[in-house]
Amino acid sequence: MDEISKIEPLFYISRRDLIKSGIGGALLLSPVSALAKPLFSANKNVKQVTENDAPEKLWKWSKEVYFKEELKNNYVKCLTCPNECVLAPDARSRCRSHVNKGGKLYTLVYGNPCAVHIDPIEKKPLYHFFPSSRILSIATTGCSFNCLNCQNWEISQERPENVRFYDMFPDSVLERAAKADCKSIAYTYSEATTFYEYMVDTSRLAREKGIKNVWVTNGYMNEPPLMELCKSLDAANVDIKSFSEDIYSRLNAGRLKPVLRTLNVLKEKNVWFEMTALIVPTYTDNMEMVKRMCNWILETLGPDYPLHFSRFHPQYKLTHLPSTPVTFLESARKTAMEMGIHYVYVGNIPPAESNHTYCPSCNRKIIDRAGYRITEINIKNGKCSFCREPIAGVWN
Amino acid sequence: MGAVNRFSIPFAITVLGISHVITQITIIREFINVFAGNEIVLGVLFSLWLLLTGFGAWLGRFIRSSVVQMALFRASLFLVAFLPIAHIFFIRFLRDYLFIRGELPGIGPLIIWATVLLLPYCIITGGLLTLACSVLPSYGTKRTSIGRVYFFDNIGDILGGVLFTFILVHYFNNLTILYFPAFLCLFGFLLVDSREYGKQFFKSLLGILGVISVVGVIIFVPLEEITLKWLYPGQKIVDHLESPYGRVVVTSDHDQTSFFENGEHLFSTPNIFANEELVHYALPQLPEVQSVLLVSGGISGIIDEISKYKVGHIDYVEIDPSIITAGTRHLNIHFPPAVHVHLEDGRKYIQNTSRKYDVVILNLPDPSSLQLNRFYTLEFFKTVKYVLSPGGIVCFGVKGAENYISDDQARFLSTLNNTLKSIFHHVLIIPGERNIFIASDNPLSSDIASLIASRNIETTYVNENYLAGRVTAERLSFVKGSLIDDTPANHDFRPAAYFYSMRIWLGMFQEHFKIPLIVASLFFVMYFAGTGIVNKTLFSTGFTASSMEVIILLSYQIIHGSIYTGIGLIIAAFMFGLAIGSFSTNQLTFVNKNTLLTIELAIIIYLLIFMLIIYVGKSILGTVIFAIMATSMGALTGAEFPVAGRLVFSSPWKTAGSLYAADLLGGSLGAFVVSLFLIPAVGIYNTCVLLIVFKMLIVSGLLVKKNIQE
Repeated sequence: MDEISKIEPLFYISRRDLIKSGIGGALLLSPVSALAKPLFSANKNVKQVTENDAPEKLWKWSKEVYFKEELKNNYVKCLTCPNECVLAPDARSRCRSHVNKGGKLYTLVYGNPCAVHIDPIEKKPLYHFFPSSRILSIATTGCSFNCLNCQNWEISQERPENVRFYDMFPDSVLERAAKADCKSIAYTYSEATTFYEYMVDTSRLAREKGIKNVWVTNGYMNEPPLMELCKSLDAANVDIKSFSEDIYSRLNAGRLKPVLRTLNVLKEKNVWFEMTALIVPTYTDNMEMVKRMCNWILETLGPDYPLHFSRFHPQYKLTHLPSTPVTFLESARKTAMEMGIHYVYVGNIPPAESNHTYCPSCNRKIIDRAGYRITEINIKNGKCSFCREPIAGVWN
Repeated sequence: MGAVNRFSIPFAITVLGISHVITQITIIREFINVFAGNEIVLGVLFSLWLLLTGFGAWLGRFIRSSVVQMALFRASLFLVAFLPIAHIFFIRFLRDYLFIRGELPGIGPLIIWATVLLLPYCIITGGLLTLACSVLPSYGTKRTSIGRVYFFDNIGDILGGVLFTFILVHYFNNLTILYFPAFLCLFGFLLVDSREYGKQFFKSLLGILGVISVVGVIIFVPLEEITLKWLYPGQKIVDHLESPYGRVVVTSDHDQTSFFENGEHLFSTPNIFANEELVHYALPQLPEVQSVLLVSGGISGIIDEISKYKVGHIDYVEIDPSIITAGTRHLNIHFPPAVHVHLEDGRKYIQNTSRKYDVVILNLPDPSSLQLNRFYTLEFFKTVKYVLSPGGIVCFGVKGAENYISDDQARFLSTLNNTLKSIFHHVLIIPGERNIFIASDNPLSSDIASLIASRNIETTYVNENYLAGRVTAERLSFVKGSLIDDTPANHDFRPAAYFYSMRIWLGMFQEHFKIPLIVASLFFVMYFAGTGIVNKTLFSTGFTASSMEVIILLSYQIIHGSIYTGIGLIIAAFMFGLAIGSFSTNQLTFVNKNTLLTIELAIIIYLLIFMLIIYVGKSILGTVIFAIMATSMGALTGAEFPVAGRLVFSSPWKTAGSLYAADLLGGSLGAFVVSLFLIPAVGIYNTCVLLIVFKMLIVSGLLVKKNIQE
């Protein structure tokens, strides 16, 4: 036996070694612990309000938020969307677009869109609203959700100071739309609810000039601002990302109920809208869920609001899933139509009958679509040219 | 302590080396299926592995009692047999619990999860190395036991690397591969106690039961099928194939077949849009297309689109044969007679072919790794131009952002654009969810719809009806306007495209890296500052060795292609060098500071020679030269450890723990820093210059220090 082992304990550590290893271990583990919280928090995707994150000075693209509640100690609560962020002084909202400066709530995204494009209206998708027209599409940064498959994550999950943008206040937006001969303006790409003030002011001006306003949205807006928006809104496309609160929480960091309420309000206010349901494999590719959604639509909204099913493709952070089978999308469409929804489309798949519009009464094809083009339209004064059945929508 | 077979400890150390290498490669390949296969993930995993093993080695220094040392050595040998297999189970099982299904986890979760999972195995194997220095029977001296353990460990590493690269990976999946080191470790465990079986019935029984249970599980339980399903919840797996390049999984849903490679989605049928974009933006630019070279992705249906142009000859090059096997089995693919399939690296094929092509289509993933970056460099496009007929076209697609182009995205597009412009007169970028690059010496037209119509080609998406909404003058101008002229071109040895692609990838996670990076840097700086000059030397050599391993492997792949056996040979050569080096200095009768200085100066000279060779003769460097370079670096690295062990010896456990920690920490930092920061940011040559500067600082430190000798 080793001589030393006879007289020393089985395990030995000096005080110096203990201190060194303790400091070393703490240093080593501290970055680990700093990163640990996202892993073990219950809902990893929910963005948080960030403290002391407001810019030192407000810039020229700021405006006081319209819907808020001022609280004690200079705190303020945003009331634009159901996140209802409560911000301490100098805190920033979850959508990254609102800050508390001196007890007042400001938006940082007024007049500074980072994306401005001209699209065919069918791309929104809106199939029953001035078909074949051009639409000026604008977006600033920000979103109330954090969808794992976001197509526009570079702007939806970014803060406004970190992107390149255009200097384009509402009157400039109108000028641009008129110059490009656009029938309407879409507030789209990221989430327009987060640039509410910019959207509302621009839409009011647009209404005066006879330009239509389209809101492409996740539908996550509180009722009072929504009622106000509806005064100048002409159409909307609302995403129904799933028909399950659990999936909304996991995939989107959002909630379903407020979205359904938004659809109700749009209907009450006679704003034309269409709905888009993205079918995500292993989540929403479930015919029972599709039926529940269709049941709700029929019972609450009626059969005339178009429903678009679209095919999921892996992107952003949701890359370990396959695309949606085309056959499922076609089955979902068939089911929805059999249940009674009049206009059901399947987007982003090879041209098929699911792209055309059929009269719910005589079943004849009344709009033939090839890609983004209308090749044939058989609607006159809002009615089927063949059987005179009123066709829901807003037509030229 | 009971009697120990004289050869059992060296055998056990060798077996440990075999187990360590095989487990490391296999577990990292498994992690790639959960996360991603780029250098960020690989760098993090390798660094963590070395860091945790170094930590385990350092912990071993606190075990002073020889009784405890031997007991722990035996117990650890037994555990090491089963832990790797348990790792695979946990990686696959926990994926759906810890992360959202289908999600690509970020770097933070990767670090946490990898640390927790790897901790037991790495701590134990690191500690085993230190313990081995104490339990190794001394037919030399205790002072020399460290060098001898290092040598036996190197032998094990070589054997493990060769076994994995040339045999195991070609025939077995990850789980089955790990049964081999499991058996070896169990055998080693039994051998360590071979003289005591009569007296220690319980331990013998445990060992035998362990062997029987492993054999039983292998034969009767389809563990691979059961556990693989955990990685694809909600999907029906119809096939899975493993090759040296990774794992291909085929799933089925309704009438759709989907292909995944290393966990990431490749494509689902029908894949019409992606195929049409890549073919029909480029081919109609030419009045006639006689021959086409397609690099990768030929099973996705793209050949059907190419065939619409009545092409007489199509060469399809694919490096991974399992992709073609899977495609043939599940997509009913029958290549028309015009198609000739070549199973090799695409870049190597282009370098060697004498055929001329009208169109070269690169149907590859983005340059999101150093390996893929080789297909987007100025040097590569030069060779492509040689195989193009006059006015021929090259085209490829990279991920786009349709509505907003960030700074990193703009730089990424610009580096590719500037690279192509250096070689071709005309470059066109067609925007969309993927940006399609087309380059030629002849003018190109963005009026794709008219081109297709004039050729009477029937397409589903890429025609005037869809293009009217996607490829508009406004969108074309938007992409062109985002390009930044002063962005450097993408080079083999200065991979700018990979750098920006990495920044885009990291930008997805919005994690706060600054603080953890600063704290981790502080840890390394404090360790480095607080340790002696000999440990600093070993740390710097570990750093240099792992950096040079990355650089040599990358240089090899740039010049010779991503040939798996060639890469395996380079790695084996490096380990062989380690063994030669450690064996040589173990024979020295006397060592002092000058011995260490000589090795350090030799490393500096080696780095200078390497830079010269790469700069002057890279186009003619054969595999043998690369193997010699790897062996030399390994030999210089291996030579240093035994010398260091003798210079700072106090006790086997304390010295071994300290030196292994230094070596592995240095290696850990090197693996991380070089592939994630230095090569992308400053290129290979400048990285070598920085290594030389680092080594010169160490030499200065050694010169200043007096009285280092046995």
